[in-house]
Amino acid sequence: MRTIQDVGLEILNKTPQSFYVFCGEEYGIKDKYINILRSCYSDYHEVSSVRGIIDTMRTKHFVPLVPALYVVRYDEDFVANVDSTTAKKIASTKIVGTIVCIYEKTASANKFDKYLPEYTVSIDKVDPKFLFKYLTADFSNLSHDVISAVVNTCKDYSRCRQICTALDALENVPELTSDNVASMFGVTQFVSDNNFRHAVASRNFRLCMDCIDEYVGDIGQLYYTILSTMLELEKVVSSKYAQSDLLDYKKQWSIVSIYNMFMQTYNLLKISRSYSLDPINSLIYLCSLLAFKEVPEVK
Amino acid sequence: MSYYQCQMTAIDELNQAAKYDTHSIIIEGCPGSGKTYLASQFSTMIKESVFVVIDPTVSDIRKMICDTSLISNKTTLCIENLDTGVPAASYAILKVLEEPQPNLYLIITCRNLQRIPATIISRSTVISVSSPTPNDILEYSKQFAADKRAIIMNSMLWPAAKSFQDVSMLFTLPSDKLQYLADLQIKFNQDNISTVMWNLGHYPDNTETNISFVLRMLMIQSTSKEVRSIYLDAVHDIEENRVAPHSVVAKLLLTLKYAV
Repeated sequence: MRTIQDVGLEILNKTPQSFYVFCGEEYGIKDKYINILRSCYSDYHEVSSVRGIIDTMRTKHFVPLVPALYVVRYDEDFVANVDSTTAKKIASTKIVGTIVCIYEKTASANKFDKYLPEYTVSIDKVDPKFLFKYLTADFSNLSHDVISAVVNTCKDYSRCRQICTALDALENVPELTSDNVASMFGVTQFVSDNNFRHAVASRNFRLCMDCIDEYVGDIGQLYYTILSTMLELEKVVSSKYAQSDLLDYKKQWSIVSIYNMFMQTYNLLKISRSYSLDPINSLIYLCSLLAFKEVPEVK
Repeated sequence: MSYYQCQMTAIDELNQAAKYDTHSIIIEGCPGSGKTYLASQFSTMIKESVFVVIDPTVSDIRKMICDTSLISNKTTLCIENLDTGVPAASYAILKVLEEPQPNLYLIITCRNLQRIPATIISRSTVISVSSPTPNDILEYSKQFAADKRAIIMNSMLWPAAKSFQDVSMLFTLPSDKLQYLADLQIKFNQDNISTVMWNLGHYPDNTETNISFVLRMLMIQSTSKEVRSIYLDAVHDIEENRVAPHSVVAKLLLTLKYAV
């Protein structure tokens, strides 16, 4: 898979390649790159099918096609049928302009990474320093301190851009802190599964409790979050070369603790499906086990 | 019409139920033992009946009951695996049982009778289906083309086929997927648990395997009583359907890797 930095550089330098697959949740950056690509071409087309546009490119035309940007959004048929021959077909097609395919799901990203790694980039949460760079370029009237406060408050490019757009419209923008931005624009931190995952992996009981308190959605899913966190930690602890966002917590876990935590969670999950157990009490019990040096085994 | 050995008793009981115009029947048996097939046979026994199969969801049940109240044709409504549905689905049926429609015959199939509310059991005739015998499985397999027989019979796939559903699955799989299943083993070596989980749960083209069958096949290959017991727990958890299958497999693999 290509990195967001390499792709970003190509697009910002207006030397795009002919075919891209943008995956990931961060729609704001995808939108930004598409707007830059639009400025590289005179024509812009939204098309519904990747297969359709590739077939068009492979057909001979009496009047040559004008270089244009073609954007295909969420073509599920393409994801379902992509295979080892797709890369060869794309490489052998003379694409006039650039085709950009947009997807969001992680499963789609995994499949494209397998069959089209040279065209695929995953655009997820952007590093705050790149957020700062993009916003500074887009909003030259706002001071670096204000942009820094916005970036520190919310890590989402789309939301940051909205806030900066609103501030840019003001005649005099005062000096703002992150708290000011949060209270002015009602930015709240939604607890996601990922927050809880890191809380468990870091063995931070207090953070776990905060996540459980603020969690929005089916709280029973948190059992599965703990199970998947243990599997990820097992990968990290058992292999020297494993890559993971939980690598920082490797030293806090032994295989025995990982195994016992998994089994404790599994047992409570199974019981909760058979009897009316309060999931919050069970999750509090599981999080309390994190305080032990070695998580106790199931009795 | 000839039936398999495991179905003989159930067929006799269904004949009796048809003779006495029973409107509510529960057919209980293990997965893939032919419960829905027997339900369709009941429909032919009562003659001129339309046979409909629906899932155990509240919306499907209510819609079907409403539709059958508008027509006068005899309808045999088969609700598959009611014990895997939500409790509300069971209660949606109670109203029909308490105020039966003369043209509606209700057949409920289930794997575990204990999960069906007592109020439904008390208003129905319960018929049990035995697990298919090895001879039943062999006879059933003869209806399929013989080209894959060699791969299936000469590998651990055949001993793991315990139901008609397993046989159908094996004989309708493409040969490359069949070979993939036959060669499956658990090897931790350089793979982490997530990778082994993926390999057990998916064919090379990323479609899903029948994980219950895979675990039964691996269990048969194991010579250790302790390991077989671990596999059996996993198969039981998958068939109970209380925990997501990928978590059951993860538990199995963690136990095999670190506790055996």
